[in-house]
Amino acid sequence: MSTQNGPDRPKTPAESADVNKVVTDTKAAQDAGVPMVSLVVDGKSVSVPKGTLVIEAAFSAGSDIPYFCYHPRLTSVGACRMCLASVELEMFGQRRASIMATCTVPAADGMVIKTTTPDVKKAQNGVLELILANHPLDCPVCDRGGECPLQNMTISYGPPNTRFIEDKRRYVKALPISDHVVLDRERCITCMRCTRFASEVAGDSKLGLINRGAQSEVGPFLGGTFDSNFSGNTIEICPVGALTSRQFRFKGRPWEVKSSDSICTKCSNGCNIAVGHRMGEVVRINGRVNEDINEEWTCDKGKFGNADVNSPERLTVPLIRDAHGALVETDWDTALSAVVTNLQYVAENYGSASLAAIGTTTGTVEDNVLLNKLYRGVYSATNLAYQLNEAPRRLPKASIVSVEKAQHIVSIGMDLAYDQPMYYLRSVKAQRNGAVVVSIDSVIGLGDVALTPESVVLVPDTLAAADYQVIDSACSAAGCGYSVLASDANAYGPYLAGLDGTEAPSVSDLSVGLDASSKATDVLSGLSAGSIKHVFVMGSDPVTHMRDSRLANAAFSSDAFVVVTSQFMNATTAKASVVLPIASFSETAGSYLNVDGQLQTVDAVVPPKAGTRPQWQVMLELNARVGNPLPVFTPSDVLPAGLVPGGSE
Amino acid sequence: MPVEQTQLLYRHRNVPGINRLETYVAHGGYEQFRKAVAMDPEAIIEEVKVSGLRGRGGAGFPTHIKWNAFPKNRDVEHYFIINADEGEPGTAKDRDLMNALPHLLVEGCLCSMVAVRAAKCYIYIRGEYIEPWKSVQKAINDAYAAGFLGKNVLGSGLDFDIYTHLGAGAYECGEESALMSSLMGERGMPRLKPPAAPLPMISGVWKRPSVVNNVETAATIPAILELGGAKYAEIGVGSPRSRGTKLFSISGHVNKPGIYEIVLGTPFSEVLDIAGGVRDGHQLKTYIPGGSSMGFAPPTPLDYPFDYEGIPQNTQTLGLGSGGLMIFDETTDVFKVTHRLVDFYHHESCGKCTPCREGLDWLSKIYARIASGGGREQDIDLIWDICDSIRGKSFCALGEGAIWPVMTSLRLFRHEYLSYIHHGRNTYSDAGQLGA
Amino acid sequence: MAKFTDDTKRRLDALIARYPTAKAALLPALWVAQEVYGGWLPPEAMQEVADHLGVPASDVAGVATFYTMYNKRPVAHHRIEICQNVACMVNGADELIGYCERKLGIHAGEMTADGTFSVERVECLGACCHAPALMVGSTYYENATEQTVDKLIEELANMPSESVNPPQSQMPEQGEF
Ligand SMILES: Cc1cc2nc3c(=O)[nH]c(=O)nc-3n(C[C@H](O)[C@H](O)[C@H](O)COP(=O)(O)O)c2cc1C
Ligand code: SF4
Ligand code: FES
Repeated sequence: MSTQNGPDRPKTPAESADVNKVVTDTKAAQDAGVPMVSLVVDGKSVSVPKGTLVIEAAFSAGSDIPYFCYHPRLTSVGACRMCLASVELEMFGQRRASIMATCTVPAADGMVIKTTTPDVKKAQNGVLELILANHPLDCPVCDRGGECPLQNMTISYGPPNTRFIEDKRRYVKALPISDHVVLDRERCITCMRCTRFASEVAGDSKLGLINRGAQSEVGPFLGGTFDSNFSGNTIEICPVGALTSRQFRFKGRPWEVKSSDSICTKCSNGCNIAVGHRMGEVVRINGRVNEDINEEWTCDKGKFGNADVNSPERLTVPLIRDAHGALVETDWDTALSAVVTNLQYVAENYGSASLAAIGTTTGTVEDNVLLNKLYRGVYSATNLAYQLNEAPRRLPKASIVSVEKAQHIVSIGMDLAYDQPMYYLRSVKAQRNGAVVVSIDSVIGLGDVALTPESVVLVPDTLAAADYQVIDSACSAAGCGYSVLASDANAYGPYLAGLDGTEAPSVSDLSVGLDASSKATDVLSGLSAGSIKHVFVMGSDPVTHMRDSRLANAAFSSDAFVVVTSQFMNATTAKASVVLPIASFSETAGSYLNVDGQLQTVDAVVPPKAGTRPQWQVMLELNARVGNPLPVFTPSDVLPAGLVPGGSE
Repeated sequence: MPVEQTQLLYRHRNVPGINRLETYVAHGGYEQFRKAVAMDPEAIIEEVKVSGLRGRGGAGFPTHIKWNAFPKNRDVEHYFIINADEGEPGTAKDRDLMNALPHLLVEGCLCSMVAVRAAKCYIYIRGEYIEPWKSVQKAINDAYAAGFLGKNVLGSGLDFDIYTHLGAGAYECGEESALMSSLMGERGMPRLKPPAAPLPMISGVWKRPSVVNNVETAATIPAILELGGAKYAEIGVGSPRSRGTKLFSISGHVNKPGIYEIVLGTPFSEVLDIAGGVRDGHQLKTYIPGGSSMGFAPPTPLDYPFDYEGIPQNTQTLGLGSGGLMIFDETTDVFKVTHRLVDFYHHESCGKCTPCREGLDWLSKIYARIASGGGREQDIDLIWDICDSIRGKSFCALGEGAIWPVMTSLRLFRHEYLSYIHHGRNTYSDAGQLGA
Repeated sequence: MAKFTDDTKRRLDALIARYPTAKAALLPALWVAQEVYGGWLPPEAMQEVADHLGVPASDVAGVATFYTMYNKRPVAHHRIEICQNVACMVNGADELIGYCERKLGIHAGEMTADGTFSVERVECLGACCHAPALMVGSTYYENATEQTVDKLIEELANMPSESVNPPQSQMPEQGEF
């Protein structure tokens, strides 16, 4: 049997996600006490919360209805007419059944839905024949082939052959509409998912419909480009291969691509992603559902930026400074011995006060734990810094989810869409519900904003200390408080690892707030003054990223022995005595605390790039070499007891 | 015995200068508005209900039912919207009415606004209608000057504003929900309707209570108020559900094409006579009773009441529609006319839904192929199947209207299709379009 | 190069004032823009409208390309738009279009080399009872014949388009509000 339809038909991951979303929404609404309505779907009685669409009620009842334009996170348009089913209801005092687009009709008490009658099949078949009429059917060369809802629905619900003998619509194929997205208008079925995403979710309307009728096409503003930080999502929600990724193009057929769960570390939001990899190489990033963070979206920084794991610029060989002052390649053993030798020498000759380390806010909590075990545990060092910036250390008052309920949102000194993409998407939601969203460039503009106790004020962690004072007084005067949004994937990881000496650090300490002094500045002073002779910089680039980069530059130009772990060369590695090439986020396991305090743990997705090592293994090895062998086999073995990762869903 | 054609809307149609306020007022103009503004809105709706008035824009939906669905308070702004988009092929009545009797429209709007408790009215005029637009806007300006529009009109404590809004070339904007999209500055695409969305009377333009009525519907209200609903309902000689008079644009192969106000239920043969009968020396082949979306009717019967009920019962077309009666004599190539209509609907499809967008695209290609001699017998079934995939499945009624001429022409004139398929031309209309 | 003058902007603001939202003024605003930009809407015109109304540019493009009367290409001075729909067709519209084409030496949809005339097929003009009908600028010519066309072309040849083609945006003044 070639056609297999009904609830057990094969589904693409996106289709399964849609059904799951309906199920979770239904449950959530039920728990929230939304009144229920009862109806019958294919002979089965179901109760669903009021407001549920008939197509969703059918999913809840375990029936299947084919669809294209319907998407549980977009408003219904009823455009593709694929979701036809027989709906019997009472209207104008009469009860009658008719074939309706079920994605537009809210379920109501007493409805009788039939999804499999011959009439319904015929209608669905007819619509699919029309959808396919002008479709090029170029699945063998289409990137979407193998995970394409249209292809799937055609196999399950479609006509067995085509009666269309006319010339199909022709367009220039594979038109790049941005750095990331290619458009193939011949394949587009005008479902308007992408354009609705642009206006409703991304809120930037960077993609729209132009022309009308059979000439309708999607595209950016005439002659422009699709320059949205969220463009990549349209690739995933397009139910055909009309929008595809330039990055993934011809990188592999979807069925050859394995998918593993991970967390994006390009910013602090911690979006849940599915990393697609083929033969050990990361080929693409898709969104993965986490209702508390990214729903199912990603930003382009995460979706396309993570391709840097494949960059030829990656460091793959340890470097060491030679007698002539040049950084030269070496092997791991030599590099690690050099670190250990210097560490022991400085400790013995100058004491632990001469040792310093700067923890990582981009690596894992576990990386920091092992760093702490080495410097504080073995050598009792106390110059352990855990934050490069001068921002108050406190988890934000406003969590990502809470922002969508806000009425007045003020962001200061950020491009929210780029810096805090998921905060931004929630603010778009809030705006659609009537919230006022204001964005000001710096604290100077604060005087013009009327803050109220309900205002949600969002602030980056990169301002000068004085700016926070201004914000603090403005906000306390208005009674609203403000939220400092960290920029790094694991801004509080070093704290949770106990790097500052706290005995049993916990996330709840962070809700209260910590001492705000920046120990990193102390390390710089120590370096400049010559009192610090050895510093371990874990995965960060203070020379570039500290506010006073002149001071940082001078500090790292001192005679101290500087060890830096990094994936790429940067301003700090350029000053290092030893550079250790480390694995990327996709190549290492560990835990991250996101911007609003959600702890998530992930596994490695692919093996470390040849020559690199996961940071935690480097630290384990160093501990062992100085006589502190640890019974650690996976990063989770060192996670502080107080930390229970919520993990990803 | 010919029915006397009571003239209500067109009573003063030919009075010189009736498009000017003074002349209009001299002929009793704005008297009904004076009356209406003093009435309880419910009482006006009741008169309209008793009159049996049905929408003149095409669907023939009883006007009072729409008006009654409005909230009975003025907590939020209500909008009264006039559909002057008149794009249905064969329909030319609203243009004439706006050119000749703009104050009748303004007065009709004012009376309707009282009934639905609207202070604002938008008249959505198709972009080609510059002259009617100027005519109506001038009438509006004069009505402001005369105190029929503006604040606290006639001491009623009520404000009334009427604005014109010019379309820009899209037949679909005549569809009421697409019209609302267009009025709000969007692409002219239809919006969800009940049960998928609330009635426009609850949440229409800008999410406020709104109603869309045809030009002629509104222009009929003063006559209803003047006569009283009951008297108005006595006019009409056919079905008890088709009351009053209606404007018909009669075009095609008749001796005296034109726009006529005709009492509903007048026998079709008399209607034909009013337009001077089929062009001399020719016979009736087929006709479209109410605008192209209604489909083709067979030449018999001729003696049936020409009204909302009589037409569908006797012709198997969709019905009276917008009153665009098109007469075709034996020289007409029905396949070619249908082809033209298919291309029209294809051109005008908004592209929102698959059946209409793709179905009409496909049909248009098939018709072109048949017309150029590449037809196959199986094309007839294919055309039928495509119509079937559009019918009842398209988002709005444009798709439905598009296939009706196709299906009726296939039913009545299949032989003309076959003639194209077998001979590459229409042997049934060889006299040509213009005839002798 | 922005072409909207202060006067244009005042006109747009007056239009915006007629509606509850600025976006609703988009259709009339595009008429104004089309006039300001010499009869058609290049992307810059749409961008200017977008900026003045505070509507995303892609929405403006979506609207401008939806409606056939907004020209997306430069147009002839005098556009002879002949109805090709059924009532006109059975009264000789095709023949009339053919006549125009031969007379001007162009096909329907094209314009003469000097940009003076174009012949265009348009859909039902609502002049079915006086078929065939054609339209030049805002003026209808009904029961049109070859003589009508001859006369028109002769008269229009030396006339600036504005004298016969008052822009749609010239909204007659609204009375006091
Ligand atoms: C495709 C389409 C085009 C329409 N065009 C018009 C039109 O030009 N004028 C009109 O009054 N009604 C038109 N209608 C009907 C309107 O949707 C609506 O029924 C009417 O304006 C309601 O007014 P009424 O109740 O006064 O008739 C059209 C309907 C469809 C589906
Ligand atoms: S590009 Fe894809 S998502 Fe966008 S309208 Fe076309 S089919 Fe739908
Ligand atoms: S899924 Fe319902 S109309 Fe597209």
